[in-house]
Amino acid sequence: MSGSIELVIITPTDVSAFIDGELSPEERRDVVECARDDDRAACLLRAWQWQLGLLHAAFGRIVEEPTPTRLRLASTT
Amino acid sequence: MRLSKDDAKAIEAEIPYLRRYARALAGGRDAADDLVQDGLERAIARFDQFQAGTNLRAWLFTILHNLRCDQHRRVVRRPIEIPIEDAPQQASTRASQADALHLQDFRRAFARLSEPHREVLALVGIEGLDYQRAASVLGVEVGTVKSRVFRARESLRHEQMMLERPTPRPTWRAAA
Repeated sequence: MSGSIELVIITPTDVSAFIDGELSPEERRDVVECARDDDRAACLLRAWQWQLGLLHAAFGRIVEEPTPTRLRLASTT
Repeated sequence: MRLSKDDAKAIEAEIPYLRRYARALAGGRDAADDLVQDGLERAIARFDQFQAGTNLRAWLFTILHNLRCDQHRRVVRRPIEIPIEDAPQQASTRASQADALHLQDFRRAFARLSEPHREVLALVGIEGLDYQRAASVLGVEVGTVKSRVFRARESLRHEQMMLERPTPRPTWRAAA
């Protein structure tokens, strides 16, 4: 055996940061590879992505509601 | 402190986002809007502390976060309640009844999380703040945000599963 094997360890926290776009390109690639080979990582990734979609579905549209009169700045200033 | 017209306009444009963030923190619409109202009053009173050119929304989120912390010190908090009718109107007619029920369950699961977990998911997941900015809103280290988001996701997944799978009732079996 020649050459060294670089051991890359992916933690669930990395998978979570991956979803939030907080990883470097190399780290992203590592997570993608890990999810391809490891069912548990893939499962976590899918579950959290699904969860994020639900989070947006459950709360996203609140910004479209008209601002109640009592919160208009004229009534606070 | 007297706000310029432009400053007032800029703050006003953020109100929908403040209301959404407050909803994740406080639950019901009225409680959330109370929080926003208090936040706006504080923001206007302290607007001279806002540094022009920095992110106004994040500054306002920080004010709401701090107000909640003040409230926590005063009262013992009960879990928030998300009333059924408080669900944002689903304008989409495509959303089936099943989806609506599913979302209602999801809101219930979310409401069961601790406030730090709801808060970090709201900032990062819903409002799309990066970890750096979320950390400054919450007054914690970036690493804390990273691990807290992870734990919040896991708690939420746990709550979702608890709602989907009701605890089995004990079954009686006669002695052999």
